[in-house]
Parts: sequence; structure tokens; C-alpha cells
Amino acid sequence: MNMDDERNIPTVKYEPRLDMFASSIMGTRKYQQDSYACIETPAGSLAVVCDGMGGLEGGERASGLAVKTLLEDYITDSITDIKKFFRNEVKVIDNLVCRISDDNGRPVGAGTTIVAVHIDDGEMNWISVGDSKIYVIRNNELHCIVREHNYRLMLNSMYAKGEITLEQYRSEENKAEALISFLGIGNVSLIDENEAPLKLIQGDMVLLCSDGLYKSLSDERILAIISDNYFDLQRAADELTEAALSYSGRGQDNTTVVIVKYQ
Amino acid sequence: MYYCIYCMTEIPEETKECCPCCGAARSNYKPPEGLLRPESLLCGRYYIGRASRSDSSGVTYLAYDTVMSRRVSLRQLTDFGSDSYRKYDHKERFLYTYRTLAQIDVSSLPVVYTCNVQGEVVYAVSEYISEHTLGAYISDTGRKSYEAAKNLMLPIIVALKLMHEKGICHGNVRLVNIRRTDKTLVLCDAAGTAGASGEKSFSDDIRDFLRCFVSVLGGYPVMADEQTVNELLLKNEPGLPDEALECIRLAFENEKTNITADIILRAVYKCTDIALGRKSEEKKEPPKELLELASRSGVAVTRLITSLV
Repeated sequence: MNMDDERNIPTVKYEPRLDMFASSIMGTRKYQQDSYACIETPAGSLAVVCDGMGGLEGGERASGLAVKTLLEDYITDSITDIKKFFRNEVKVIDNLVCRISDDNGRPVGAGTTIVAVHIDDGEMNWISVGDSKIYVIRNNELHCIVREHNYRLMLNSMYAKGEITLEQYRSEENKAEALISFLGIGNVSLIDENEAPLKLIQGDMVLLCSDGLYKSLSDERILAIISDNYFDLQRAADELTEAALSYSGRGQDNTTVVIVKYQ
Repeated sequence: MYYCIYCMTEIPEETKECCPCCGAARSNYKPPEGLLRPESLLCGRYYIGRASRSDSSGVTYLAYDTVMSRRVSLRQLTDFGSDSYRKYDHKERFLYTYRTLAQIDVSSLPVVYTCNVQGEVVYAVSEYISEHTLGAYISDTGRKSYEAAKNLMLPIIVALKLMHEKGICHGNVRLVNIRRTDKTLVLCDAAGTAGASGEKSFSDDIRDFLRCFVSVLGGYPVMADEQTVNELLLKNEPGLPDEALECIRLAFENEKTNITADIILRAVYKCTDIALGRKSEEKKEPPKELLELASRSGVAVTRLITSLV
């Protein structure tokens, strides 16, 4: 607390703080193919969620490799440009995941999504490949800031440009959920990232999640669970994953949630 | 969408006059003036049912959370004091009480989901607990031995200890606000205006707890009054041990005496601290290699949470 000598008005210096909370469930699947990490260093805070895909343990290896590589490089590299770092990491991990092979040396064809945010000094940069999501919660409103990189994105674009008719769109809809961009695809090119850093304000929250969450819960429900547990966000994270399991119609995918609170 | 205001079951609107689930007649409910209108929606989310309890500080409604699809209790502050300062003060105390309650995780306090202000309505939404009150339980089962009463009331004194440690009073410890579930007693409907001059204090909470305790001992379905307490102190028919009697005497011989939950726990329960017995989450240790890598790179990792093993 400082005293302003001229007017004797006490001032309080506001020092923002980041808190991070995570929860992950296997759902009704046989394997846990989601991986996540949150790390805080003097250079800033990094949070990442990866949702692996591929038979047997391929998905788990892919998502684990993605998170491990990102963490190791974040720790060891001297990062001056975080956007460039993210972009470069995506390409490196894409290459590494492509090369995941079985005991006989045969590629397993695994892949993984990735959503990652970096926050330093109140500024957030992010990157996304695949259909995991990043939401920003501000003033009790939920805003998704990334796209789902699935076939539906392509269909919507083609339909909007008039390249396909409505009937053609509908006939293709059954394949709409298929991913068209993920790490392990090789030469990954469809990447979502911020143009300019997002300036966070006190009270903002950032939610990273795999598709198991938003495919089971509506945005309204997600927001309700977070605001109902505003004072205990670990409980919010746990309730989100539990609710995804309870409210899913048939079978529940692996579900991972990371909540970052800026206060 | 229509819900019965008595049981909050979704029913067809044409059956609302007589709920096919609980049999209650809608027309029997005549809410007092000034309360939230039944069947209205608060904040576009909470469907208001009947007012199930009211006291000098507020009203509790049965409500339905239409987003989370669950029954809830909605507590509305109605005691706004006599002037604009007190109105502001009571509102802030109410919100502060419920925000603090939201941080206490114990089975003898209902989970608080949210508290907020919508126009002139100051409210808090909590977990719905059954309607079976401690008073009704005493009516059904009669008096209890000292040991049985102690065991029954332990969750309540623990709840009060945890609240007082966080600096909030309950202000509404009464038999009708102590609800019985299969597993435990739950202390509901915190007044939220406690602490202002002339209003309830921490010691008043403990005195009210002791009155409930005496009611359980004597099998009285209403709060034990001064006469009942004095009789207990004089005759000691339940055969309370000296420490417990001394505790009750200390609490009631002078209303200004400071009596705390810790005194009750020591004297009655012979314990100096409580362990909530919460199953601790197995904390995954982050992989050592990552921490070693950070150390070799000269990077100070202040926190690392990960699924990697």
C-alpha cells in the first residue's frame, strides 16, 4: 500500500494472478487418449489439452507425445515470439506424431488435436489444431474462439460459396464430424491462432477442453456449472467432467477440461 | 414447460390444479404479498415454486434450475432494515455470507451454487435438502439419550465451527432449519444478516445450537425455551456429565458470555480438532524428468499439473 503524499490517498497495487485447474475422465472408453498440462514459470503460464486418436494406444501415445514435446521445448527454448514458437511446435509435433510406429516399425496412423494458450503479463496467445476448443468466459458469457477443424467446416464453406447444393450438403453430413486437420496428418496447414494477443481483464476465465465436453453439454450448461462453482474452480472442472458423463446420451468420450482464471 | 410448485416435477399444464405426482392442489397455495410469484422465472433460469419457509430475515422457496435440470432451494433476503444504509449493509452481508458458505465443503451444509442480485431481489441458490426437519424427527422418535443426542448433533456443531472460522454467523439455527437426510443432519437457510449490532452473533448461534440439543434430549419438537433450559440445569434428568452441564450453564446464565463451537467440542465431544474425513485426491506427481529438465535449463517452475506420468 502506497501513500500518495500530496493527497494522502492510499493506493493499492493490483497484482494479477493466474490459477489453473484441470480434470480428466476416461468416460466409457477403454483407453484415456486425452493428455493435458499446465505449467507456470517466470516467462508466463502455458496450458495445453490434446485429444489423441488412433487404434489401441496410438491415440494415447500421440497426445502424450504432443504435450511432452510442447512442455520440453517451452522449458528449454528461449522464446521471444510465442506465436512463432507455437507455430513451429505444431509443425514439429505433427512430424513426430506421423512417425509413431508399432513394435514392428509400422506407422500406427495416430493423430492428436491440440489447443494451447500462453498467458504472460495479462496477454494471451493461443493455437488450435483439430476439434478441441478454447473458450473465453468474460462477464458471465462464454465465447468460443476457435473453429472445429472437421468436414463440416469444409462443407459450410463450400455451401456458402455455392460450390455445392443443399442436397449435396445434406448427403455429406453423415461425415461432418471427421477431422480434416490434426497433428499427425503430415504437413498440417489448417491451424487456428490469434492475430493479436487478447488482453485479459480481471475475472476472465479461459476454458480448454476436448470434444467430449461440448458434445455432451450445451454452452449454457457449461457456463452454469462454472458460475455455480466460481469460488472453487477445481470443483467446477470436476463437475464439468462428471456432468459430461451424466448427460451424455450413449457412451461418453474421454473428456478433459482445463480452467485458467485470471484475477 | 410446467412444474408442480410443491414437488417441482415436470407435469402437463392441464394437470397443474392437482399434481399427478404429489397430489397437491395448486389453488391451495396463496403466497403472501411481496414474495416472488410462483411459476415465474428468476434470471431466466430459476422456476419459482412455493415458499417453503420464512423467517424474519428471508424466505426460502423450492425452485427448479432449468439449466441444470435439478431442484434447488432459493433463499431470498427480505430483511432490508429501516434505512438505505442498512439496506445496503444487509444486502452485502447476505452476499458475503453465501459467497463464504460456497467455499465450505462439508456434508452438514448445503452446497451453495450462486448468490446474486436481480433488480430488487437479493437471492442465493443452494442444494435442495429434504423437507424432513429435526423437529419432525423428534416428534417421530421422542427423546434421546445424551450419547445419541451428541452423535445426532455433531454435524451441526461442526458446520457452525467451520462457518465461524470463516467469520460468518448462521443466525438462523432452529429445529425447522435443520434438515435430516439419509446420512446426516444439514443446517440450512443461513440468515446472512447476522453480525450487525443488535443481531445474532457467533455466541447466539451456539446458544441456539444448545437449545436444539436440549430439545433433542427432551424429545421436544420445538426449540427449548429458557424455562426448559433452566429445568435441565436444575434437575439434570437426562444425566448429563458435569462438563456438558457447565457448558450449558456458561452459555445461558449471561447472554453476553462468549461461547464458541470449540468450547462445545471440548466439553461435550472431548475433541480439540476435527478431521472432516474427506477422501483426499490422489495427487499425481509430475514426471521427474520434466522438473529436472527445468532445473538444468535454469527455469523456475512454480507450478506443473499434467496427465503425463
